[in-house]
Amino acid sequence: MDENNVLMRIQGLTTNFHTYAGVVHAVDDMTLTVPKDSVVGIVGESGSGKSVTMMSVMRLIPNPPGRIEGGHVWFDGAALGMPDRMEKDGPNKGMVDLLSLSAESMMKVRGRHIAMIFQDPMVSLNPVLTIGLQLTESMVVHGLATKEGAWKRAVDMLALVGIPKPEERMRDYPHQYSGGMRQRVMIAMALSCSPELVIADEPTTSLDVTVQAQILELMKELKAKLKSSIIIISHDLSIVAGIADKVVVMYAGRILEEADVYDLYEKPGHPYTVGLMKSVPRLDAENRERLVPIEGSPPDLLAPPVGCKFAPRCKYAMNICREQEPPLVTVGQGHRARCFLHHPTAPAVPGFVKVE
Amino acid sequence: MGVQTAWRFKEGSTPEAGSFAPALKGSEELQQVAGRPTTYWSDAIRRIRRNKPAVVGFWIIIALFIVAIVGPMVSPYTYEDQDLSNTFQSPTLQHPFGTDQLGRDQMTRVMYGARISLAVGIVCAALNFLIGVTYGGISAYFGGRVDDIMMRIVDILYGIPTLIIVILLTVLFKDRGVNPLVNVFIAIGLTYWLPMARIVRGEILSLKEREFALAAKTIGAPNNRILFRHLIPNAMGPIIVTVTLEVPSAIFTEAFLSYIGLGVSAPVASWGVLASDGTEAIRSFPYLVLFPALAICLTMFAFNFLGDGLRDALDPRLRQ
Repeated sequence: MDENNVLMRIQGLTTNFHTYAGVVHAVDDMTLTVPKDSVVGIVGESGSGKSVTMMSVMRLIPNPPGRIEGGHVWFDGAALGMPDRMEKDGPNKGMVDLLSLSAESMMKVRGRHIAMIFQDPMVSLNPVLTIGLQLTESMVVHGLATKEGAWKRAVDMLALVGIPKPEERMRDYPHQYSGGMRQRVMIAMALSCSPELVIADEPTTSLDVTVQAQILELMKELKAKLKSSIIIISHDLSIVAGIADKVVVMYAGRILEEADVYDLYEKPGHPYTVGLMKSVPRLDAENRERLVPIEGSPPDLLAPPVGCKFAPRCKYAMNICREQEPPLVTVGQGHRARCFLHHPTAPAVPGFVKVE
Repeated sequence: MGVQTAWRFKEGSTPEAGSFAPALKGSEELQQVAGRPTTYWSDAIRRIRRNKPAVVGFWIIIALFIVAIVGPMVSPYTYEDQDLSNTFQSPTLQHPFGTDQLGRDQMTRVMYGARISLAVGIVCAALNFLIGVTYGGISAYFGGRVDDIMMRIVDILYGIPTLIIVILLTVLFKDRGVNPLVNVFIAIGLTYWLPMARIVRGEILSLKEREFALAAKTIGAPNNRILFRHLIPNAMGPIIVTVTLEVPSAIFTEAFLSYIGLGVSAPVASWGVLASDGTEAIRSFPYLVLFPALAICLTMFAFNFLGDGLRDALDPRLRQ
């Protein structure tokens, strides 16, 4: 990947929750690169650490009990406009570590440079404030526009996300909008400051299927128009497939596989990814394939397995998988997988390439 | 049941060639929203209107304000004008509430007393908003140790009876030219925001966990903005109810303090002072205590009925 083209690079991010029962390793040594002008999909079951990773990036982990224990979140310093905080040299030249910023500087990043879209638009909008007020808020807070200017831009944004009669609807309250329209408003809110990165945390999960498609279509359309990068979190591979350039599969707080969207679907490099794909229905299935669920449930993060976190549920698990955790190995162009099956001495499994 | 053999249309209409042309849908039709639902407040007003005691209470309070402001201005008497040739008059047309032992017009004095009572009510409401809401909000929003310390202070203040604070203040400020009314204000100021702080804290504690609070954080809004702009407006229902129930209690406290001689003193007329003076002559001239006592009762009832009505109207669980 072109080094100048990196918008955000998460490096060794570790977030733990210190609970009464013990330490929960919600995100462990997470590494992820988000190129400029791209869509990265993060897929995983509930509790795999997708959302915690993104909340760590935003530095909105409730503390206590949560704590970011280590790692860096490098963000393009030129975009942030913080030349004095930029790394002078090394692989992260020109980047700023978000985790090292003061709380005040971080506040200036949120909403302005990184915005978020939440899962449930029914509860993410403030019920007692008008849509107009909420839409203009981030522009006003970040001093990007006067009240009048922000109002005008908010009307434009509403029109852009497909709300009819935007001027009238600015004065409405959230309960006067339908679920799909509220999610459109959330998208308009997130994009109002033209952030470099938009994190969409399961943006379509709580919507009807027909509305889901509209929202995804809208996000694709706006991405092309506004040149923001998007990280889309989902537990649904098919949603990610439709919109992402690059997909990351997470499990038990770590990345199991990372690949371009076509590579991932054509030659998945991890038994978990294979399992995920077999467990969702496909329209292009040749004959009437049965859906195969992944046996078992995700590990208890209070006491995760010693070796590969997926080993207890993996039908290919070998002895070594139970003893130590495999590293993320490169198995192809921009394709990394955390699995010992790629080792030359491992038994051959169709579709899995061997790397030294 | 015969089989339908031909197309039947609505009576009087015959389809023409154009009827079967494709209908073009405008973008507005694609995003239709079912009729405008009522807002929170219009809904609340609708419900409180059906509550008769609350409506009556509301109009009594309005009337009280008008009488308190306009009454003493249009009255031919003042609260301190003595007319020693006309003492202890029974109610007449000139003096509808009679006159007291110094020949002062009782009606004017009662109307003037309303000013003091309402001033106490307004000060109480203002302090509730300024101190109570802010204090409770900050305590809950920042949580943790801040919350612990702030709430322990509230607990301690709660433990001190209002009466003791006022007596101490009266002794402290005696003969120093401090208006006794100020004593009452300070006493009320020190104690009457406490229930409000607790109620707001409880509300904010649950509101701050709501998704929209997190959403406000993700747009980079500073803490004070999230607290005052996003959270507290959501707690407005309970806040208003608490104020309407606190105000009569503060008014009553003032009347009580004046009655036992710790509040305002002669010649200023507050309802408590009037009732106190009236009791001395209760056997011979019962109307002297009757009217101020009635005024106190009426005010208590009005505020409490309104407060009850507001509580019912603003409770989202009772929405129909």
